[in-house]
Amino acid sequence: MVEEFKSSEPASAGRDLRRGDHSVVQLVGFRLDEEDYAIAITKIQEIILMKPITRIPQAPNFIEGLINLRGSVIPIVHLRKRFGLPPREFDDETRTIVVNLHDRTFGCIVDAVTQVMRINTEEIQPVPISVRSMARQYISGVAKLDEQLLIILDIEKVFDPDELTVPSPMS
Amino acid sequence: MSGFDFSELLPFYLDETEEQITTLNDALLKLEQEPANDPSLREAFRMVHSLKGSATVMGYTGVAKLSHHLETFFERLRSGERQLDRPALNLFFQCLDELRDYHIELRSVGKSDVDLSGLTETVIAHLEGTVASAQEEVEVASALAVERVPVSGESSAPQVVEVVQPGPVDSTLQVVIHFSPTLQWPDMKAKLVLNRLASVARVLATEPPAERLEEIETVRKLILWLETDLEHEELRALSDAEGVERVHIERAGAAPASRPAADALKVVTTPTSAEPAPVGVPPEPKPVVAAAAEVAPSKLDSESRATMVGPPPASKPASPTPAPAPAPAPAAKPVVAAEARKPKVAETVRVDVDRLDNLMNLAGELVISRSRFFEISKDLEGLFRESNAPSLAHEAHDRIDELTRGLNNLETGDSAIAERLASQLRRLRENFSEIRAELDLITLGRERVGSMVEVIHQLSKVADGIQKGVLDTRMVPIGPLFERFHRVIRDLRVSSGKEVILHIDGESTELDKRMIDELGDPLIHMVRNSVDHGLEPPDAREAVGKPRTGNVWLAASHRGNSVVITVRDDGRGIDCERVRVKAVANGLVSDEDSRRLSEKQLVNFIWHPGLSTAEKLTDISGRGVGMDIVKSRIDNLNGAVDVRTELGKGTTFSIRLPLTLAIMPVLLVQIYDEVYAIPQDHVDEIVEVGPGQIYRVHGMKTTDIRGKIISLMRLDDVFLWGGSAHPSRRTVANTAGASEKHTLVVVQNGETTIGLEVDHLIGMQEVVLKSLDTNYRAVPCLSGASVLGDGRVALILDVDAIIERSGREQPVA
Repeated sequence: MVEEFKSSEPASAGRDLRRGDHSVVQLVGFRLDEEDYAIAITKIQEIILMKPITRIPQAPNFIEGLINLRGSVIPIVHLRKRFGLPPREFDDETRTIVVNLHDRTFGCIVDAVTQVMRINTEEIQPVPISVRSMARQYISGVAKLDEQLLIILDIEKVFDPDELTVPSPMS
Repeated sequence: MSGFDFSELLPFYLDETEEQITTLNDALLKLEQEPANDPSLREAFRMVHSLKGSATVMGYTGVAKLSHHLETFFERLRSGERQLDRPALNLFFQCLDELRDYHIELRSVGKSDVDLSGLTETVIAHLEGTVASAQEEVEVASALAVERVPVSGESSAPQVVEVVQPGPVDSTLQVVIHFSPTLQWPDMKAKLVLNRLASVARVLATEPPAERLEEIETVRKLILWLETDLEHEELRALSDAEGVERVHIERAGAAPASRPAADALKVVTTPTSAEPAPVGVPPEPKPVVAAAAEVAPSKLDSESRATMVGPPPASKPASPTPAPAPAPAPAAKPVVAAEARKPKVAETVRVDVDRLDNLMNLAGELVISRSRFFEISKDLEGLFRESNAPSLAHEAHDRIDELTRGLNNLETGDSAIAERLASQLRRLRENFSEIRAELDLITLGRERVGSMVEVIHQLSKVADGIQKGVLDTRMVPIGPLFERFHRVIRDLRVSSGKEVILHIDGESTELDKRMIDELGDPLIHMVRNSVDHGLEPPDAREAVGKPRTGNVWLAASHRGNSVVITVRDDGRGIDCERVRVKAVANGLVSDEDSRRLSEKQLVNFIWHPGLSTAEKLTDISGRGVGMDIVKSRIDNLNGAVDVRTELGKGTTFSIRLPLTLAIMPVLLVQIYDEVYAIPQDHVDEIVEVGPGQIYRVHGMKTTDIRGKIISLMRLDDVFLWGGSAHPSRRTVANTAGASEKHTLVVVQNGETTIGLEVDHLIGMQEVVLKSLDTNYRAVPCLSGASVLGDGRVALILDVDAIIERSGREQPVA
């Protein structure tokens, strides 16, 4: 089931998700700039409180820095910056979602973690055309949840190693 | 400096030797059947060579000498200079038996009394008038540190110096460094100076001991006992640093007993100079004698010279009709520090490297947790520090009693008020009792914290021990890797048609197993490169007056905290002009620019992908790949590679590697609110400069460190942060620095020195290196990250890359 999240083309992602009839995915919901997002629970290692972050040079601005997660050094992606949303001070609700992708582990800073939910894949629809193009490529589908729209992220796109390289000042 | 006692190597030595003797035996048996069997002859030669190598390392002079002469013998057989005949074979088997006996005894009682000198003489006699050249003799003589004793004959002494390691008899020096009383961080400075000296000399001992430098915060004087052949002036220059008041160098008296165990000659260093040298000398002077003579040459020289008569040492040219050496009287046998070499059961276990890696990681975590515990306990100690609260509580209690009594005695008209007051007082008393009970708990807690701190100290020691232990298990000698090159050279000899001899030195140098695994490929590239590009064909060599046979040297040695591996050839050297033409042709540099480059800069183009100076392609090298791979591989190991070449004379490649990939001694510095780690190996010194000492050259900051102009860089300017300057830079006004002093960490990569400007110094520490690539990606100018005691992440700087880039740096806007 989860494999379907790996679909690479945003436009087809929604269809992919719907293909498996009556199957259910488990998602972790979080908030970002008053919008509701979700990531497949299978990609998530844990959710932690904010830790001291060490800034790292030669990185795109959405890489907040590095943290120590029980002895491992992992990078932290500031999701607001990643999506071009206005920055906001960290507060009591700010969390880091630690994600496992292939062999790598990284953290994503979100405004707040809301809930764990189950969604029938049939409810997931493709991204509406109106969504800004930049954010669009990170979204694998949307789902109507109660009165809100849930944006399901394709987390692999958020942390694409090819996008991390920034030219150094001296070369 | 390898951090172990050589006697611990004994079991490995014995296992190895047993194997070598067995193989040698097999080879000899085969040779007996077919004397012309080349592979067997080579095998035998190799075994004898290895035997010599390991015995030399362990200081078993007798074995080393005997195998040296056997090696010469086999060399002759191999070159066809001699034929293998029956008497020779018999002699070989006899040697084999004696060697076996020697080692059996060594294994059972920890030392061996089997006398090999007679046999050695016989072998020399067999070699007859064609005894090895003096040069070769000296090589052995000096490789065996032991023979730096006067006995080894005045004739060979002067040559010792040029052949192998530094250190003739009177090379032990005492260097006393006085630090200025106003110097900040004298302990760091002391460590730096020590590091610097350790890279050029063998440090026998220091006062205070190196490992205690950190504990003693006010080091005002550092005494070092060094073994070196450097001139006093050179030493003085190296010892001099900012904050050093004066340096005093003299020939050493006795070194203190507390010599570091790291020294290979540990056994040697134990006796005190007060003891006279043992009277009467064995065929091979044993370490004790050497040490005594070395430690107190002035006192002992005459005495030991006088007493050191006895059988002629093997390094003396053998007389045409040598008689077997007279066996020394048993009483004359020296007391070798036999106690130090208790019999040991030689057992080894093969372990999967992955398991060791896993252990290493865990040990690293343990050490990090240890530091965190340490900090937490410090905080707790602060919170729970002694207070006078209990006595205050006692006083308050008495006051309440007083009040109660007073109230009872008070005659008052209004009994209701008195009643109310009394009840309030009762309640106050009750509340207070509870508070006191709580206070008692805190007092109890304080005691507990006290004992916890003690336990944490103990845990620290255990954690350090485990980490060191695990690290040690990963250290293996480089010898087996080097041995592979005999084969590589042999194959190259065949395929290139060149005559090559491979020389190997320092095969006992130990290195992290992982590094040795990673080093194979780059070394093969380099050795092939040396043979293919470096060495000329035999005829060409003859034409320029060189011997037809070319030489390739492969050597390893410890320098301070790193290992240096060199690949050297005596070939034609690198033609800078040809490199320049190639570089221009390949569009790496414009013709005009290239003419402005120094030879050094030109030579460095060989590391560029797609540049090969070989005129014709061969299947060995010359495809233009190789050297860039070598460089990137070495970079990946946090190492540096350097090339020196002299046209017509040869080329030397040196690879400098950290001892282990796992931990690294670093200097922690702070810039704004971030902590960076600078590998200690690269740190030359720490200086403070006033604003008047900073000059601008074309907009770039430079300063003057004792007459040497170096460029300066603020560490945060090395990088871009999210595409621009450091975020704190924008908030902190940049004018602050105008009147303040600047703290500079002066770093070097062996050739270039630059100053890195930092905000604060934090201290020296060993950190566990974590790759950034594991979860993120490699970042230029950073070699990794590490977790500090407070749980934060510190970035580790790649000084080589920073220096390299500083050469073509543009100031960040």
